[in-house]
Amino acid sequence: MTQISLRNVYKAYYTNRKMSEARIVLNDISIDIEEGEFVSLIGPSGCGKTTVLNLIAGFEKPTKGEITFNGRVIDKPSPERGVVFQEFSLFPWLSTIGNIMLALECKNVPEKERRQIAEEALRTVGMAEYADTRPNTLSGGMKQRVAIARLLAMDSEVFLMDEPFSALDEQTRRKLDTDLVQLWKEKKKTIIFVTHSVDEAILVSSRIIMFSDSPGEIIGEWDLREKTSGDIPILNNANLRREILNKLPRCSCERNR
Amino acid sequence: MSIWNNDERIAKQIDTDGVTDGHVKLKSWVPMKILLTTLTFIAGVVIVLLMWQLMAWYVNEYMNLILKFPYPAESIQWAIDCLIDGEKIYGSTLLQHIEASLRRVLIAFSLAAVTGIVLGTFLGYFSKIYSIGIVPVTVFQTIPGLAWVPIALLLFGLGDDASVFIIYAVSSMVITINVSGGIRTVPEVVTRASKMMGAGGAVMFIKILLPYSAVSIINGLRLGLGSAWRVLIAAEMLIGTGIGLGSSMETLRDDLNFVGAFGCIVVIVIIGLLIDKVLFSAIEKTVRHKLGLEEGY
Repeated sequence: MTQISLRNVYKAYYTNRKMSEARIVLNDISIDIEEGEFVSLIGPSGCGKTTVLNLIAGFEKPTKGEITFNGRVIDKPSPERGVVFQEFSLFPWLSTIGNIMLALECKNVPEKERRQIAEEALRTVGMAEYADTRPNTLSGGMKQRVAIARLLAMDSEVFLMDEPFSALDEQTRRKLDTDLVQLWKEKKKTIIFVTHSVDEAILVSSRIIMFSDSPGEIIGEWDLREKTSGDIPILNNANLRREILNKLPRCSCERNR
Repeated sequence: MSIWNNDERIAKQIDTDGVTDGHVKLKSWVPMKILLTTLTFIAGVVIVLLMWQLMAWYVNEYMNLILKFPYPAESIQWAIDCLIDGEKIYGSTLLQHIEASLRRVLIAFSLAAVTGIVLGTFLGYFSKIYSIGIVPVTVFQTIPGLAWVPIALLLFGLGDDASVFIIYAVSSMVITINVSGGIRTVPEVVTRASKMMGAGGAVMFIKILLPYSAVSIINGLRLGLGSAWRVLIAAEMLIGTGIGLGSSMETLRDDLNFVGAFGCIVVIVIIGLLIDKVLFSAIEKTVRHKLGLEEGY
């Protein structure tokens, strides 16, 4: 069943303070995402991948076109569409578990149940022993684990992840990638994952959508479920990797020369 | 000097004890830290007293004035005597004058703090309201403290209410501007994260925006209380309230008792310092630590 649907979406931003020109960041984008998919958005930086995510999250509105979630037009952010931000987004004055319990408070979960749900979520991401630690003493990878636990506790239907592991070292990133796939399989959530790494996209996703930059358009799509029958496509992906890399537009600074 | 150098202190301990289990055990540094803070504070106060002493000495020695410029020792002695003996200055003891002034400041400041925090948060959060709302706030803020005197007298006549009104008018605007400025610097990722969590109005303000901008709110309150204290003294001098540090200073001056008038200034400064150093510094430090702005631990 189609869960998220973008219909002929355009997004433009003014390029100067005189507002005499606008740059088209997304140019007539249409995407349908089904429940339980793991979709990666890839493309050169500045191609509008993050904009797509912000639109689905409801932080911004499309200049033109329509985005729906379960058939309803998205007009504002909501806990059913949780976001893991690229920057660390935990509140520094609350403990790890306090951060998650605040999210539950926003959802009006009864006070008695909050701690239990939060603990369960932390356990799922392997952070149970850091429940009372303050976020600024955690490493980058741990912070993102807690951010994921926050969405688990909120029971978001969709996880929107904006280059969540890009600030982490290679090893940590690999570990978090595989853990995330494991989580996706267990919890059957829809995940939309923005990344600039082709390898990461191949490793995690069930579908890859490639954007070109200025203006952002969809220039390629790969369905990885067929090739791997629902499993993580780790083996025999060298050809796929080459295919995707060949199609990846080069950075605009080079192209314009 | 080694007491200023943290590395040297740890290095010495490593030399004597060596490293065990990746840690070095040290003696508590808290008493030394308190001592150092106190010493630096006293050094600052001594500089002020020296400047005063020099000024008085120069004026009395070389400027042939009819009246003597009071020395710090005389004025401080005067204040201490007044406090201990309970001698009446124009009908009330010094303690009663202090009490009257403090009461006015506290009433006005509490009202101003509530107004400033509520108004400032709203203006800071809603950028469309801000561009309109900041205009009147700036207009009121531009009015000098003493220019409120005619307005206060017109509205409340002579007395307590008028001076409370002036203090309120001045400090509420200072607090509003600082609080709205603080809210406006809350990073977008924070507001987005809270919207994504579904944080409604009350939770958003109380649990997210206020803690995040706590440092600038405290600074706003600090500046607000500072200006409240300053404008109070001036207001008491102009509005015949009969009691309060400002009015006692005014009458002492009229009687050419400059030692006493300077003594009042000493009392005013001490109270201001106490409020700023003891109250606000402590709160600020805790908040900075909670927000992860202080180094380490």
